Amino acid sequence: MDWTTLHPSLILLLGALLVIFTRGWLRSVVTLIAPALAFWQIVTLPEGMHLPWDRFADSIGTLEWLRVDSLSRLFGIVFTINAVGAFLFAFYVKKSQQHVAALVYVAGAIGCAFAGDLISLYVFWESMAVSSTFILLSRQTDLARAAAFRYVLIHLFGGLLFLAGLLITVAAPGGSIAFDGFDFSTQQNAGTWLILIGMLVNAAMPPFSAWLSESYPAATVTGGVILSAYTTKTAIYALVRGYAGWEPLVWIGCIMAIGGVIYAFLEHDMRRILAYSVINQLGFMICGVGLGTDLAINGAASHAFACIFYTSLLWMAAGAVLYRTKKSHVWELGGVASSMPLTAAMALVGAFAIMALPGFSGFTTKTMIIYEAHHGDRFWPWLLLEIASAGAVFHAGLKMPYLVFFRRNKALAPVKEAPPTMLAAMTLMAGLCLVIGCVPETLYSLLPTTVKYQAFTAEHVVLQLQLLVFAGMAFFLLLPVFKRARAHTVDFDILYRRAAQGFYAGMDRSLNGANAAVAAFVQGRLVKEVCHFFEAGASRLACYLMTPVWMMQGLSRDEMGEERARLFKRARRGAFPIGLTALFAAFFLALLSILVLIAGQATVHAGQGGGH
Amino acid sequence: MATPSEEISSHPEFRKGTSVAGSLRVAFRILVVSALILLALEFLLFLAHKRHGYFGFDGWFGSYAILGLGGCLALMFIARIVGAILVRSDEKNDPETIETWEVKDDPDQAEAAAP
Repeated sequence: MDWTTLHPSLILLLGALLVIFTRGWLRSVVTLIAPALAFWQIVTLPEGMHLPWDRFADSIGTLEWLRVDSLSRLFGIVFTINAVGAFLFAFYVKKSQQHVAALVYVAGAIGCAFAGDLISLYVFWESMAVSSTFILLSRQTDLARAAAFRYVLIHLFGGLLFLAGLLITVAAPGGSIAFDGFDFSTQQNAGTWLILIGMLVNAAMPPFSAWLSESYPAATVTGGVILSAYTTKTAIYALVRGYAGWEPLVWIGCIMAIGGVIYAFLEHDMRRILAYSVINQLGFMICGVGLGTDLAINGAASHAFACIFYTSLLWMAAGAVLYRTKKSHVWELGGVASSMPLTAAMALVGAFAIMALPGFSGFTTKTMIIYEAHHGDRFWPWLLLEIASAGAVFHAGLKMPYLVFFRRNKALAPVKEAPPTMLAAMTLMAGLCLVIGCVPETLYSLLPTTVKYQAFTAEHVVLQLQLLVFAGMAFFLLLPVFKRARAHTVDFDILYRRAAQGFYAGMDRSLNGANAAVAAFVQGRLVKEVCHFFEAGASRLACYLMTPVWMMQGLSRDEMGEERARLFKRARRGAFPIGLTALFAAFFLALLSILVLIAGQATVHAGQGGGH
Repeated sequence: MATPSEEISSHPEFRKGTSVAGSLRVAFRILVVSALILLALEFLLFLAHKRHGYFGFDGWFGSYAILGLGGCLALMFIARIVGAILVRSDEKNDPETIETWEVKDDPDQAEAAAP
């Protein structure tokens, strides 16, 4: 077997298998070694390699489950490095369910990054949806189960859109399963739009964004860290690969960037604030994809790369605080920095990176997208992204770190610093944020096309610092209006939750109403009438049959009435004289015999007719 | 009417200070000084013809300062309007939501021995 062409996802899947058969610290070591080996395999895979599955080659194309180019390698690298950090953070977790699900999840993300055709992409895409649901379920609370249920429903809905789009695209004349990118001017059709919407569901586009802010904070301490990196960034990879230059993405990105900030302002749970800041950052990337130029695509890809590290770092810091204090509400926290100074320092590195402070990773990647909007003469996208950038300073850069780490709160008892493995993972992520921020060429050299962008010019640095400092002043000016509250924000999920409740109520009323009406008719009337018929019908029939006989006997109307009443009473009781009963029996036997004879004759004729 | 600076000074958080980062007053003063220095640096960029604009507004002196401060104030204003409609209080009940705030039975923690 040629090990140089081994798919990196297989290494992770093998790791997931080993996790089941190992115990204790060995299990945790396996979870670290598997992504490290996958990273090594990704780095050493030869550029331009294609590994098609010829057995399924057809006129619509070839299944190509391993395609290596700079873009797929970029995402493969960041997925595996982040996995090493996340599993190091989760080193203390001893249960296998979450580890297995997480390894399969990361394998799915890497599979998507290296898929050369839409069918392979779809298979890995769905494997991510299923495995990430099990990560959520490993929290084992009612809240997590409910969140996981809604999470898997929305992702299966997105997957179905993707599948429908795939089938329409392939079935069209000249259709192909190749995943090389759709041209906005020539390839707009129902299929490509459905695939796009399917991808945007995973990228948390409104109105399908609520799954992110609901499910990630509902996961375990470590589950949130793992989940925060893969589903949305895989969607960004797919958009970069398939939908560069699709104009609507510019505006979708702007809406997400601004909407994420506004929601983050309103939240009081630190992990929900971070969830909305993820949506805010995704907005920048999607806008970059929509702009579609080489620099914008480089910006989107590099920002996804950098965002994975600082998002993970912030989720780790929040997770470490949650782990030690058991609290996630920012107004129940405060002053944690005195107990957990190293965690606070790491959180500040993440905060500086997300606010794009010069010297930290966000500055060398996010500004590339804004720069392209600026130089591409796109006023509104530029303005909205700058405002969203200032907003990120406010909520993720200052509000969350200040309220959690630095605000004085005597009610919170001192806690221990985060465990060493958690600190090591945070240090790894913080180091990467600094490396990308200070030596951006290390990241730029991995990007799909040559980067013609200088982040560290005097103008960029001064203007970016100006934006950040004045946004920081806005934070201090607005501090008096901050309100302590135990509240949550209604998201777009209210629409489909209400719609589902309405649908349920409609079905309940219509179907159960019909059921009740039928039950009332059958039980209340039909059965009663049938009982009455069988109870009195035969007696009444006998009365009708005897009426001509009585008329022939010349009985008067009153006499006929008396006879009818007498006969009816006798028939109800079944109290006929023996002779009359015998007469009835003989009559009905004769009638039965005649019917049998007629039926026999009809059968014989039918048989003869069939024979002819 | 109190100035913003006086309002901040009178805020309880200001008087208490913080345990690690020093007082908010100091932080705010550092920001004000930084802002002045950055505005001066931008002026130098103008003098050196290193400051460029593409739409008009973006080439004005202090435009990024306006974006940073005004953008945040505008977003906060919008957030408060949106919040009046979309924020739901959890003070009374809704145990499902409260569960998000306190990890009561995280299986990770149940298994882990505190290092």
